[in-house]
Amino acid sequence: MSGFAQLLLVTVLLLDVSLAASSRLAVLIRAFALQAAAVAALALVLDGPGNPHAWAVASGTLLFKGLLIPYFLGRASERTHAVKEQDPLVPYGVSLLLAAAGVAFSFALASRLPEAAQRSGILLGAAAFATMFTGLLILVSRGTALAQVAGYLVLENGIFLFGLSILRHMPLLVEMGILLDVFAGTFVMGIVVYNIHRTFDHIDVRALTALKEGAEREEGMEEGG
Amino acid sequence: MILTALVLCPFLLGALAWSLPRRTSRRAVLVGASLLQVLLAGAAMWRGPAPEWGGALALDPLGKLFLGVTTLLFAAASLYTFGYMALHRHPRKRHYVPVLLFFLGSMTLATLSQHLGLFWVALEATTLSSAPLVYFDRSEKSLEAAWKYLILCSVGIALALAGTFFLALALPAEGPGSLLVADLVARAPLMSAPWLKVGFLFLLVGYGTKMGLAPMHTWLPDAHAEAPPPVSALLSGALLNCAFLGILRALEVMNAAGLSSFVQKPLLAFGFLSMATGTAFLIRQPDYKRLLAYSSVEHMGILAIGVGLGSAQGIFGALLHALNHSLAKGLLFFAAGLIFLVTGTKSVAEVRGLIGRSPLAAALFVAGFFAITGTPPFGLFVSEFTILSAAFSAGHPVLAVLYLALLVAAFTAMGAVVLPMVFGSPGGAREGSLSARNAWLLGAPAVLLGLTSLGLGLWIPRGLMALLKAGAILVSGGHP
Repeated sequence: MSGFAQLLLVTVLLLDVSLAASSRLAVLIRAFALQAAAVAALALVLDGPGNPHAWAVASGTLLFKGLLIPYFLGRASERTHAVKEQDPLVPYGVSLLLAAAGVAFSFALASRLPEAAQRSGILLGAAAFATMFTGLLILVSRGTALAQVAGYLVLENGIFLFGLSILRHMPLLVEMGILLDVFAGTFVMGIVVYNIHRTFDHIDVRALTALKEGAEREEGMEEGG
Repeated sequence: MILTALVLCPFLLGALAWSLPRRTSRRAVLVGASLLQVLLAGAAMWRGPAPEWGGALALDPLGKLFLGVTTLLFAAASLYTFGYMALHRHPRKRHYVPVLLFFLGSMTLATLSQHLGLFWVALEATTLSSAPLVYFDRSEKSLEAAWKYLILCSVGIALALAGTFFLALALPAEGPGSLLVADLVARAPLMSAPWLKVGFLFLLVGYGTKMGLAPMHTWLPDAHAEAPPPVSALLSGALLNCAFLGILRALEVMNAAGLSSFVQKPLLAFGFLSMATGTAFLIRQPDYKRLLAYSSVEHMGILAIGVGLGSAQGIFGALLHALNHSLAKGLLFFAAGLIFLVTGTKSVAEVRGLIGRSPLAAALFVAGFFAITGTPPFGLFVSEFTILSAAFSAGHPVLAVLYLALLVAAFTAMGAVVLPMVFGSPGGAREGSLSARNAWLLGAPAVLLGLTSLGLGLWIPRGLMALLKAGAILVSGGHP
């Protein structure tokens, strides 16, 4: 693996830690965009710049995940007046520590991978695991709908890193289908988030509990008398 | 050609419907598209077309079964929609028909995909196209349901994508390799077992989320209860099957790699947990659409148990059960829609004495109840019994007894909710608006599904039998 690829992977890992600790949505979105750009560059570096397939994947990733999705998320956060998350389930300090622990754990995990995976290096596996872990951490610890969308996207970034080592098994059609799904997914989620803002005047999805089985039951009891 | 047409027609007609200004003409497109799909699917099954898109699209026995179920249920749901939307007052929604057709297109692509990556793309597209349908009512509750559905299923399916990549990593470093199911099955003995195991677990959790296996089922009751009845019928009867198909594809590879003993434990664990969870929430359930949704969780558990037993007989039972469950659940959701039109409420406590107010809705709901709980002579009795005897012959008498106990518990719990709704005394009941003529327009598709379910309990046509057997052999890797 070239030195440049290693530099990119270290960038991805550092962004993981900063993603886990950032309370401001704008920072979260920008860090995600940077990470996606690094992943796009890695697609080129790992599979050789002479490979048209790698070019297509890299430019698709950069276009959708590096530019369009962040732009769209930024607009959504403006329209819903969501700037930062005040009280996450896990305090940001703890979140930072967890993400750092996640990175350490990912290295341990990646070094135990069967050799088939190690042909693309421990660093790639570690970065992929750590990014998946960070995405899940953000999903679980944040209550703002847009932060959860960002968490989903970071998770997707991590999975895509795994995808880089098996690029040759994937037809371009499928690769583009995946990117299109992620983009359309963000779009649909954005519309739902906008509707949540319009209906409830906030986008804290932890406060949406009308459908909890308990709430339903109490209601049923009252109506039943 | 024909497979491509099956996938593309719903998308193109959906786009056409989007551009049409009149509501009636959009609905005409919906019914036309669903009938065209029935014709195309019938022709494809009859002729057995050659693979297309470099082998990524093909019609194998599993694909045939699930394509058939999806197409038939969609046709029934589109006829039902035609009547339901004319009666039910709702905000003007231009996107309903187009999105419904995109949903059909993505489900069809899922049933035809032989490439695991393409299958993933199709399944994620089903989530995206059905989420707007869940939010159809524009109520606070349906918004909450749509959000949970989107985020939980997207994350779940993202894990399934990781699982798909892990399967690719399991391929030997040298030589060609693709994610076509046939290639993976052929090269399975050479693949790395640890990666296969990790990949399978990710696929099981990922597609299991979408299939509604407990404990990842939490989105399902909300989405199925808040969506309009024809959409609920499709979510429960067609979409859950498509997710199940993803697990079946993974099983094909695992069994070919000789890892069948590894896959059984997690499948059985998820299966029994789902049956138990589904049954627990049937007890005194206050909302009759949620009742049907939890029954789906229970039945998805039965499917997981059927394939988790590891024998071809169990897989055969599970495939038959998937078909039967779709028919009976479609019938039940259609009946639930009728009940809502008659009474104007989704609360069990407020529906009493249905038999006097709408004999048709009452008869359909009771028939659906007996069908879904596996009472003979309905089809579910046959498939549930097949799985039971597969459990005994696979040497799991304790599991077999547990399975039987859960089935009886589900029957009792559901009966305790359904029967008072139908026969209880109608004191201070609300009035809805449903004329007799309209009721029959809505009842016809439900009656059709009910009769098919009844017919399958009495006699399984030879062609279907051969299809189910071929599917079971495909999944079990030829081991009896």
